[in-house]
Amino acid sequence: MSAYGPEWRWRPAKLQLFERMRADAKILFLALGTGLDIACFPPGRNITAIDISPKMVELAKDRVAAYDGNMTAQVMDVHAMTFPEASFDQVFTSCTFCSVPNPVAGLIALRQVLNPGGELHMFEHTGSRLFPFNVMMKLMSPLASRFGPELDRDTVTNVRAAGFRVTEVNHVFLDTVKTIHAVK
Amino acid sequence: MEKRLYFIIGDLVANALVATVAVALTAWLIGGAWGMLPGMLVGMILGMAIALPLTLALLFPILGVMEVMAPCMLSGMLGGMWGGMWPLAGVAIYQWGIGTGIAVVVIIYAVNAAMSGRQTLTN
Repeated sequence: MSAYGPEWRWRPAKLQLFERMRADAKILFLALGTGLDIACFPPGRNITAIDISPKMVELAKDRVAAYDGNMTAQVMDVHAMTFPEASFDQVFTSCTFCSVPNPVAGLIALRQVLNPGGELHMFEHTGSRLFPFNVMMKLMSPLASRFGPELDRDTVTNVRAAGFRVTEVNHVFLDTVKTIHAVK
Repeated sequence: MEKRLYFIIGDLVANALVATVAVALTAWLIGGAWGMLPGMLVGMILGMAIALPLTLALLFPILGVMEVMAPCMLSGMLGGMWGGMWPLAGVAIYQWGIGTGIAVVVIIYAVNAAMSGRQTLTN
């Protein structure tokens, strides 16, 4: 989703999401990509970022280095993270769980690396319950998933299925783009 | 609700464009010749098929993902429906296309305003 339009369109919602990064927290940021979201991070945070693609981590290197805080980036798959259990206070994701192959397993893995009471904050696009968008997304999802994201995932249900307690859902655009807040 | 002028104008132009192209192509291909119901159904599908590449190739990089894809697919579907049902030509193509695009944006903005913000949680 690294184009001018999506990034600018979603910037206000992402700024609100990343405002929740606490200064005293150990933070895991999932799916770093090329690091475009770093511009929305508040300064002075302690952030570990991961991405499954070595190429993406390489492309993000300069943005990670330029971040005004403590930030490291690693190549890692959410399904096979090597962090010890209860390593982080907060996890943030941004347009990630439309593409993670097994979303519930990935969310369970995130839950494991969170401290008890740890927070999950997500910015995701999901499927819709509104007609005709629900039908359109179901029709388009098999095609879209060949190139990356699935369009009809029920991420809020997946978060609950992974054992999180969902505390807040904010619709950003209809019911297809939303922020999800949950605790372990 | 979206308040940035760039995106408001962009949404209106994008939806008017997609709907007009869908009306024009389906009117040229079908134009009411297949009868009302078959023309409408085939036109709707064709309209969505026309909207998809336009949205992905031209509009997604400058206007956003879901915010442009969802309304433009609807504009394409409705535009295709008009072109499939009726023998539209000339200025009528622009009138139906631009009118449909603007109407879709107004409806989407209204629905979005009603839906946006914090939702009631049940667990």
